[in-house]
Amino acid sequence: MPMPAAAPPLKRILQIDDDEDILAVGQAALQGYGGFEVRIAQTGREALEMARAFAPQLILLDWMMPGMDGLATLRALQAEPATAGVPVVYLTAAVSPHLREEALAAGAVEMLIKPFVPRQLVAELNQIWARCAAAG
Amino acid sequence: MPLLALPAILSVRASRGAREARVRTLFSRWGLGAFLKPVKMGGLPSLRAGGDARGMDAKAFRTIFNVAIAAGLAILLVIAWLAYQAVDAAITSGRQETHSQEVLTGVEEIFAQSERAGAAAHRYAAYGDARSLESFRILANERVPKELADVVVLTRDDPAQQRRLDELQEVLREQFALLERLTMAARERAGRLPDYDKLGPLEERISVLAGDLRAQETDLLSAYRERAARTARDAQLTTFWGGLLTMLLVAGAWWIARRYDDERMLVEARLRAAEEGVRRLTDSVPGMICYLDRERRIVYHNRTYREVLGLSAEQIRGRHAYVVVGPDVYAQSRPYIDRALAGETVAFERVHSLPSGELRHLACSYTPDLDGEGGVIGLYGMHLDITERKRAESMKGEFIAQVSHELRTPLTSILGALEIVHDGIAGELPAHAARMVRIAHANTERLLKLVAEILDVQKMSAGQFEVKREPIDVAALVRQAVGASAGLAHKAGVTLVTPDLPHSAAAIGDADRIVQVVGNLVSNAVKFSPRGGAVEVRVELAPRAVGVAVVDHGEGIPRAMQPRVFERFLQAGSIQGTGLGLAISKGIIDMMGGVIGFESEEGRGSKFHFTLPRAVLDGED
Repeated sequence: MPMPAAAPPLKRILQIDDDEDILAVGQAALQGYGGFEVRIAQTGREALEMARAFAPQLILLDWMMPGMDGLATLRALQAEPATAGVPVVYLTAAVSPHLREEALAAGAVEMLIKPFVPRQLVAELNQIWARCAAAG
Repeated sequence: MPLLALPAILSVRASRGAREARVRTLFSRWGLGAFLKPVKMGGLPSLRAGGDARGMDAKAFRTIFNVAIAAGLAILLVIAWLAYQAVDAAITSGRQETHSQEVLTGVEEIFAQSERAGAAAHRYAAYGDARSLESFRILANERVPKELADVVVLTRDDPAQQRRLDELQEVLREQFALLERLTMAARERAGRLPDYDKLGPLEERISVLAGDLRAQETDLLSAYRERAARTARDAQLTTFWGGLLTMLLVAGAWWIARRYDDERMLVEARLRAAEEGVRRLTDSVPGMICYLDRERRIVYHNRTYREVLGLSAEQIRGRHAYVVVGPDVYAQSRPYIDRALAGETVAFERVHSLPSGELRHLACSYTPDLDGEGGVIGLYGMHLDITERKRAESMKGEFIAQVSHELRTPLTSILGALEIVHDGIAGELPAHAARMVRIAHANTERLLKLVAEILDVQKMSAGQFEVKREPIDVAALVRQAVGASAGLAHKAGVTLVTPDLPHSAAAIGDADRIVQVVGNLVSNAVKFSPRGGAVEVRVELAPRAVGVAVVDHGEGIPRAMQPRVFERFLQAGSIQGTGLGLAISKGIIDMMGGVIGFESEEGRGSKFHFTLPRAVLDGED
């Protein structure tokens, strides 16, 4: 999909996951393969604080998290002016049926399934970004 | 016939027990054991058992009873005939006696009148009075001949008497002629009468003849009397013994009838007991059991059936299934009832709402009930409550889903980390270390694939497996799957070819799942191919379907294993894999409305193929 000239390329990504290792691998992959600037957060609360200063262009969010889960975090991000318009992509190992529909209905732009192949993840995020930019 | 109408027969059984035993002893003692043939019932007594069990006994009974009655009637007929004979003999004897008396009287009369005629002739000869002459002539010419003629008529059947009468007539005529001459001589006063001395012998002869006649008649009479007495005695004896025999026959027939009745009661009691046995057996089953006749009336049901429905026996028995289970449940079950009544054994599951509102999961099976000619006369329905099993299955499913999630999360980190290291993102690796990382990476992928497959199988068995049905390009997906398998094929030294692959092949299905199926088939084909061999992947277009075939020239599938190829965990020899791939592939293709199959020859290779509905013609969503 050709990208509109006005749309800025994807640069800043915020990844939220309760699993430290996933965050570490994700950050290494996104930085190493995509050259993105990546910030990570282990809880929804932490992410909200970070987002205000960081102003991410795209947020990668886990679905199953203790405390404030993926859905609650999405709602909180949507309510926060700094992140209200930022596309959210779920990245989850959960495999219950209808999960994708639920996530999209809640306002996420896509749901990707763990495990991810680092190179492919970068490619998929770029595609999603292009799609969002095209849609305005 | 009302099936299993169950009166309280227990008390009946108790009081009949002693009588049954007595009847049995009697029957065997009298050699009528055949009357007590055990009721034939194969295994469980049929729900419709009733009349046929005692058919043979009834026939034997009827034969014996009819023979006894016929014999009695025949004896009565003989008695009646003999009685008729006796009465006839008595009447004949009486008539004969009257006849003989008449003959005897006639003979006496002839004798007396001939004497009177003689006396009159002598009187005239002595006194010459005209009256005596007149009297003689009347007697001699009219009375005696008339009397003689009467007796002749009376004895016309007896030649001996006729001969005597002829002689008597002759002698009398001679006597009367002599007496006539005597009277004539007397009138002429001729002194001594001519031939007077001849009268004496004539009179003597008449007396002898009369005596003979009388003796003959008396003999005849006594002979008749004796015969009548003998006939009467015969009739008496026959009537006595015949009557006795008839009474015995009738009594015997009555006895047999009574015993037959006993036997019938016994058979009926046994039938009722068998029915009661079936009743108790079915009542002890925790599943709902019912029997529907052709008109779909519930003619039999067990305790669980009415307890689950919350109805009384009267609200169920003989009523149409629609009325008993209500429109909603009936609508669910009806297609299966239709099929069972068409002769098919069907099984299905449905959710049942109890009167309390609680939901129960039922496994239902309908088995057609066939008559002797194979016609369906009803169906046996069995409904098992599998709610607990379903709950356990669901818990198992949740557990598997949870475990799978917990496995995937660390595997994600491992795989991602290895990939990053392998790709040199985290710095250059020594060649030896890079090889180790590749091994770790490949095995992590295997582990992930296994987790994914276990999850797929679990979803399929829980009915939660879902596939998309959207337009796809099968040719492109085959290209993608073959591309993904290239590394594997290269490693195994197998060539992957896609001859005559169409530019595109529109079908309906789930793109990711098709890639998974083709990947499975190709990886199997590669695994079973010899090094240096080739695997072909073909896509063919048919009017209503798109076909995909994966052909190898490997070792083939042993004949014994072929029927089980699509079973879970089946794995040939020492070949690496979970054994889930083909089972999952079949599940996927089935769900997409396609057909999957194979042909294989041991030592020659295998061809696995599947079809998918074409997009252009079907226009399904």
